[in-house]
Amino acid sequence: MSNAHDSANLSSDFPACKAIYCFLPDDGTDRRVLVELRGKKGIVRAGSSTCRGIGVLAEAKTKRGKLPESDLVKQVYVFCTEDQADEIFELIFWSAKVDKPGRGVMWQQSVTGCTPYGLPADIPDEDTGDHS
Amino acid sequence: MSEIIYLTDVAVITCIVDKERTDAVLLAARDVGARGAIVHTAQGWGARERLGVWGVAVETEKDVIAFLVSSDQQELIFEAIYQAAELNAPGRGFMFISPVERAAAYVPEALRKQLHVNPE
Repeated sequence: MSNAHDSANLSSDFPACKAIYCFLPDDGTDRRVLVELRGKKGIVRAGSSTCRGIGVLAEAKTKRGKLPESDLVKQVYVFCTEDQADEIFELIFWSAKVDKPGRGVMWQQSVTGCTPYGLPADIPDEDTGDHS
Repeated sequence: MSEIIYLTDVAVITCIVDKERTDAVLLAARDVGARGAIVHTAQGWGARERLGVWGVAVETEKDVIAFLVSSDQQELIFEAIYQAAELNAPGRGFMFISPVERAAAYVPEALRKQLHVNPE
């Protein structure tokens, strides 16, 4: 039996889901959103990374033919089931205050399949240091 | 509570290019109407390795650039990026468009009034 065939079967075992990407200012919002997602909704298929962003509505004067300085921004990526997508999208939107100027942008895309993800049980709590 | 203004009919254009071409790509996209971009630095290997001095493989540094664009602009911006990145030459990089179901961001007051949604 070929590995390719096994992989094809395996990938069909994982349900379609939604990917939500947010680009937020580098002010700790990403971390707060991730904590909130885990605490309120149990979402752990999520993370954040750093990238450069050139703001859509940023007021920046530049010489003709030059680009404005880019800002350090945080990309938060969240994967959730299709039925969770609406509430997760709304939670992030209001929690990160994306409706305010300079607070970034977010979007949702469809993913054909996604593996489950769980955290190890013996990770100490970030605040208390207690093992859960 | 106010309601979220969802933006639909949008797409993400993702372009993987050499770092030296990034500014040219951003300028070209801006000139045809792209309003913002996200740039990730990527380091690693492609399908082939380039050997440097002493025959050691050189890790290439590429930038992964993402543009959130409206669907009616996507062809124009895609073409401008393609030309600026010189993607017709071998080894320059590649790009793709992926559909977005919905997006959300700050919507200026004037536009909200025009849409009769969440006026302040």
